Amino acid sequence: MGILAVTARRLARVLAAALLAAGLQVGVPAGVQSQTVHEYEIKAAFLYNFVKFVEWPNEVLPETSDITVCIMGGDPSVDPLESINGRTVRGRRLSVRRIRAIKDVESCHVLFISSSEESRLPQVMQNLHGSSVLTVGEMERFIASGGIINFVVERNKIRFEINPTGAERARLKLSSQLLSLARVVRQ
Amino acid sequence: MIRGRLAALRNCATIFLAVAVIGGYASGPAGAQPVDLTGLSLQELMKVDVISINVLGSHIHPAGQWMLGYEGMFEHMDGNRSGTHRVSHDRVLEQFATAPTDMMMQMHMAMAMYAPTNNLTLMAMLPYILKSMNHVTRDGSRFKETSEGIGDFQVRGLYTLYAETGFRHRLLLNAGVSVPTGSIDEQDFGPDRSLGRSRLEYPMQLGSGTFDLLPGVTYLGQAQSWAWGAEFMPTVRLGRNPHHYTLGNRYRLSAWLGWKWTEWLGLTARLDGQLWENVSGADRTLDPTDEPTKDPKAQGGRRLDALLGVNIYFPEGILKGMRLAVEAGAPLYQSLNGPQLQTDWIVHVGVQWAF
Repeated sequence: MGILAVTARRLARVLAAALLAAGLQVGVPAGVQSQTVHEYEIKAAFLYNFVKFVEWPNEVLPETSDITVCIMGGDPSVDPLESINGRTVRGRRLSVRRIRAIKDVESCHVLFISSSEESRLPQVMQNLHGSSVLTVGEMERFIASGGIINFVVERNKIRFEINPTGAERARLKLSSQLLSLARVVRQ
Repeated sequence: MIRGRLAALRNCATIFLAVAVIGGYASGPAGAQPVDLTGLSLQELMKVDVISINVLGSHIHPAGQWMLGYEGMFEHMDGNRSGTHRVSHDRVLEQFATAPTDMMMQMHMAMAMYAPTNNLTLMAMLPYILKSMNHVTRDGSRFKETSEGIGDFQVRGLYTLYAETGFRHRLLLNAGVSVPTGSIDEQDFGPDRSLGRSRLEYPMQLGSGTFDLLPGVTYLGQAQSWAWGAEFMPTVRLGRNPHHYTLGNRYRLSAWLGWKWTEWLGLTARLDGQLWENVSGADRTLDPTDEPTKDPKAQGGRRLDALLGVNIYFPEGILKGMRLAVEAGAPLYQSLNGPQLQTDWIVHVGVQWAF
């Protein structure tokens, strides 16, 4: 107990000194800018592009309606997805909403489900049954659970898988161009 | 005891205050707009690299990426130890004419990294080392020795043997060589300055004097808010140096856990175990009865350090892409082929920029 207390005190003392040093370092200008991009900034652009290549049934998405893009998952790291709010795709405005309740998913045209929601995925999919919602996920079992598009990170680059069966079930038409870039996975 | 705990609590409060202050700096540009990539086609988006350094660090880099880094290592040794027991200066002076009392070592290392392919990262590292050691002699006189200069230049390669989709689990192979650019001829005055400068003892030299192999294996695990890993990194000395000795091989096993508190702030805990062997051969100009630091058989030992750290990543603003890591710790256990100076505390500071 005595040794642990001494070690803890010593650790606290040196860490405080080190943090003070760190505080001084933070003020130093780096001079070098990174060209790398945040994962969700790329995924936001993918979502924007997906909408261009998907057709919803007319009764679900009338000619001049906004396209509602829902984000499910409270992790702040997905915040960059909201950056596409207000953008237009083929004359339609994208309206981005954060949702928490499963019952809200049916009002979406595109639903991004963050990996933080993996435990709720079966319930979400059950609620969506028969709805024309383009589901986009980022989980290993997303396609197997009935999801339509799943992001994967491979060799530091974003790739996506498509489940055409899921799209047919949701009465969504995916363009051949989109399918040609995806890894097609049958559910 | 209670007063000590209060002092520790005060120190903890200082730490969290410092974190908050640093956080204030780091989150300054939090309102910055995300990078807009909506102008890119799907084909173009599939070529964009996801950020490679995050708040918990990265050991490998995407093809074509350069990274510059600085690592500062500070180690303080105070008092002597033989085996696991402390030994007083008087006890050391019963055996030797001089006893080391304390030592401060600083290493400032410049690093450059380049990834020619997605699976291979090459690194070059050049340290600048400053050492100072205080001594006491049998007649009670005290003196200080110092040495300073570049250490051994290292080149290393990190090859990804296995990477699970999404980088959840990665296994890296390390291979490197240490080139003897550090001096083994450092001299300073002893207790009697009239005798002039003489060759300093083994721990005060700046290099090994030999080419050394740096093999190793690293495991990295990553989840949404957690990162963990383990690394085995031996240093294998090749041959004898020009002063007829070889520093002992060093075997290092580390395991760590990191927690991403926010996108820009992470906390780490690490256990670092080291075993290093005695010097084989001997520098004939060093009298092993004069001081334990000159005795080739009193150089080895083993130690387990516990270190806590803070990582700060700058995702936006003028410092975008920079990662700052500060880690501090103390030994939980040390057993030394002594008498030998025992480690008191260790601090590491690292800064990395990717571009």
